[in-house]
Amino acid sequence: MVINKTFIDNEKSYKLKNKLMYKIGGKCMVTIQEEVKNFNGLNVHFVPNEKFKTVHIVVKFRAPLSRETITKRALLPYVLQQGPKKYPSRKELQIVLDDLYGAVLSIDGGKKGDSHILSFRLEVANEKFIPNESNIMDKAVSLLNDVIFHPNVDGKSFHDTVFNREKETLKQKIRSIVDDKMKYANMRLIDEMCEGETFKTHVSGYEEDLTSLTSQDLYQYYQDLLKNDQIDIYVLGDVEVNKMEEVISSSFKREGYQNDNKKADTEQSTSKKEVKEVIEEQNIQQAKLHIGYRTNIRFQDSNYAALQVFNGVLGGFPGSKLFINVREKNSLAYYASSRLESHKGLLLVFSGIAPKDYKKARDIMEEQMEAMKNGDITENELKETKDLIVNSLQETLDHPQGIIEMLYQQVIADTQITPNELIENIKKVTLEEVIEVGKSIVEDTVYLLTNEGGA
Amino acid sequence: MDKKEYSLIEETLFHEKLQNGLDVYLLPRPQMSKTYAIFSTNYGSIDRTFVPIGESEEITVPDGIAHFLEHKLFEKKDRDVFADFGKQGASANAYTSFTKTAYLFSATSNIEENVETLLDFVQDPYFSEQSVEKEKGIIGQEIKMYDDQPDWQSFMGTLRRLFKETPVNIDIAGTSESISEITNDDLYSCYDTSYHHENMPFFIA
Repeated sequence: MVINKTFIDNEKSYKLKNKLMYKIGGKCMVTIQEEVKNFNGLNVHFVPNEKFKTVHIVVKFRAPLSRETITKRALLPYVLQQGPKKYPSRKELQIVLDDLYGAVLSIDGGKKGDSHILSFRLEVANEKFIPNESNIMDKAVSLLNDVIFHPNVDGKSFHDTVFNREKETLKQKIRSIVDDKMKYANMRLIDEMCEGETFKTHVSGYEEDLTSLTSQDLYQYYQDLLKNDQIDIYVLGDVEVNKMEEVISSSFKREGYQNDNKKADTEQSTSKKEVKEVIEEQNIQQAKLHIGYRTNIRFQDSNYAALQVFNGVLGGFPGSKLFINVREKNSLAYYASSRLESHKGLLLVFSGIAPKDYKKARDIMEEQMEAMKNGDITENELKETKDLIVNSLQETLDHPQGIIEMLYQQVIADTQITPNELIENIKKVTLEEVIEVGKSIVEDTVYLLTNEGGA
Repeated sequence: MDKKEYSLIEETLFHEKLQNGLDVYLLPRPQMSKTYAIFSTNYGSIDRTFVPIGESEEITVPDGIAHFLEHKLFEKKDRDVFADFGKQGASANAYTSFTKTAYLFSATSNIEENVETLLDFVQDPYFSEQSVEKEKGIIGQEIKMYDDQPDWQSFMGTLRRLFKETPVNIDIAGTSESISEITNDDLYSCYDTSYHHENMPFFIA
């Protein structure tokens, strides 16, 4: 028996999470097919794919991000995960999932640019691989419909016991962010950088708003959400589109949907005149240095591929400038990378360093950005970075959830770029385009979380 | 080559023990773009007291050395192996547990070249005093990062309480003090003793 916690080197889980990538080259070119149909007030995306032995159904609710609704949207996954009216406890819900050969249901929320997305995900075995089974899909869709549209309510509110318990769970979750130093530092950087902007809204909600929230408020809001949010359903797996369309259209019905198309158009960033420096102290061993830049380029922009390459050369991989200079040459850190907030137009650089090395590390990190802007990029760096981004995108297309998230990017950005186009765009990026992109990148905020006494 | 078929899930696993003792496992996944290969040794952080190969006296090496060795295998006399994988469009990594050290890559192209790079670099150690010293700063920060993670601290704290007499109670990465004692010679004696074909399965999917 192997104890499951191991030291994984050189790549942060943090970074992995934010990677969105594709596939080409090598032996076969995989084309992702997507067929979108609109019925019953829903946008249903069918993604037939023979790679996988399970079927994934993901239902996404999208609304503008706002302080007013975020705490409710953060609490809903916890409450709904406790079971619908028909299976009104965690145990009863689990039994139904177990009967579906260990299906997995998860509900989560997140922000992309100035939108908030609530996702219900169900992964279920494809009945094709199970002898004498033919109605798993019907049962799975019907379960998901129950969880979403027929929650466990008591009159016009959620059950108090469930509500109060889950409220406590969310409170603990909000309070625990400070224990995850990398996450905390990232959140604080965004707080400082995007002060006064919608994007700084905390996705876990706010404790002070949670305290005053009642079960009636939450249920009332959930009714609004079901009526007004934009809903996109993804069905991915080795299934027949016609049959699935029938199953879904007979189960999912949304009443009174008004398509008023109120999209959250992400605010354009405003740059500060001077770089803002924020230093915060805690009782910790390692300092976290996070630097935020405005790229002024978003997913839907024509130079987004060049920006991805820019980010890759700077800090996306173990061969990147940040890794080589902060870690390998100067031995200052275990990790030093960068990533993009693609729907907001930010580039974030981050590293974990000894508190005493703040000035030195900051200088080296800022120098790497300057080098990028000055066009100090070799043809080799460019080629390797493009290959690695393409590799990473292709790998993402081996994951069902990766494919779905990739496709959903288009909905968020209100644009049409297929996975294959994204890959082709990366391959076409030139050195000149990367250098050009550098011109629009502006340093905004430096955030340091360090130990008490600062050294 | 042995062949094991799992007809219900439509998968076939191939295995062969080569003459040099290496166990090779192949799992073809023709639908997938990604190839994942892992080359590991049954040597981890708990293996700290042993008789080095070719000697008769038992020695105890500094805590955290298996993990230190994992980092240092990537660095060669003239280059960094990460760069080799990068040139071939692959993403490489490695990890150390209590009982194993594993080296791996994933890629969607240049598979044969990347397999060669993986097998070669793990079998070709190069340690120098200068690069060993440099790594102490990097791993020192890796240890500090874990020091600030409550879940890892409670996990290790539990092990320390449960297992008072066995080396599973020592953090895989060691401590800043223990790694400061690591030398070139220590790394070579751990490597020579534990990195053998008979002790190192290779798996590719």
